[in-house]
Amino acid sequence: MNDDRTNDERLAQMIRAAAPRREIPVGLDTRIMAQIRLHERRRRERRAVMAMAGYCMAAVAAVLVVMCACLQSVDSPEGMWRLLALLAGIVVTMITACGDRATEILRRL
Amino acid sequence: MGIPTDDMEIVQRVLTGDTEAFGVLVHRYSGKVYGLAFGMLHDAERAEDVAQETFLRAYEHLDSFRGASAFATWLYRIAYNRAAEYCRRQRPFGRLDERCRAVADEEVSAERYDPETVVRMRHALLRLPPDDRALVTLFYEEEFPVAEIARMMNLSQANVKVRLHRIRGRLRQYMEERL
Repeated sequence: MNDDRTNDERLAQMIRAAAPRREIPVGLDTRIMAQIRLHERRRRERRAVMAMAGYCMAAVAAVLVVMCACLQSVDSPEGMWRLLALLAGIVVTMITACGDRATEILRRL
Repeated sequence: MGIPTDDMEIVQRVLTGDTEAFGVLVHRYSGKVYGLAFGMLHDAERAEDVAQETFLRAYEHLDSFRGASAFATWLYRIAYNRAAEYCRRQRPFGRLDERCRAVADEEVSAERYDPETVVRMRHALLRLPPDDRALVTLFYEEEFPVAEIARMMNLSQANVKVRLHRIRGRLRQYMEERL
């Protein structure tokens, strides 16, 4: 029993002595953190793009609903032109407000 | 605010958006994770890949770490699984490439045993399957308790003990074969 234990201990010491030299590669921590930062940035970008896409879709849907409602209530050609001018103004304002972000979204699609 | 020393506190900070706090965990465990991967793969390049993938995966799934085990145990488990996957993808077990042999033959700095014995032991270790090499690394080199190893490798404690016993027997046999 004691011999077995002595043998086991000796074997354990030999295993430790035989452990190959494993110097940690230079800059391993830096490379890992660079990957983590990149991953985090991509994740944030993805979230931002999703949020922006959602916002744009909601805005477009709202404009369409307003347009349909207004078109149904128009009863003269002058009124129609005034309404179209108003809608064009809304669309231009929307494009100016989120044009850059929308371009970014389209570029990423 | 200083950097907390407790792993769980650091995890909480990372989860609240402090990505840089993860660097403390990377600094604390990268060497050990690399060591485990190297012990299993005996290849510096692949061990580095495993270390990088392990931390990236840990970061991605950090919210699933509930603290039921120590952070190190959880991290080692990921590293072990990644390294095991690499082992499955690489050459069939038993065929050692030149890089592995080079590791086994590299200069011996141990003072207690003669260099020839150490190199023989390295070759004997290389003949073990990667799973057993992981056990050897965790038990003998990293000196983890059997219970922790069992959790990392998803085995029962009894199974770990039996496997360690068999590994010792096999190593003795391999050492004698080469005499």
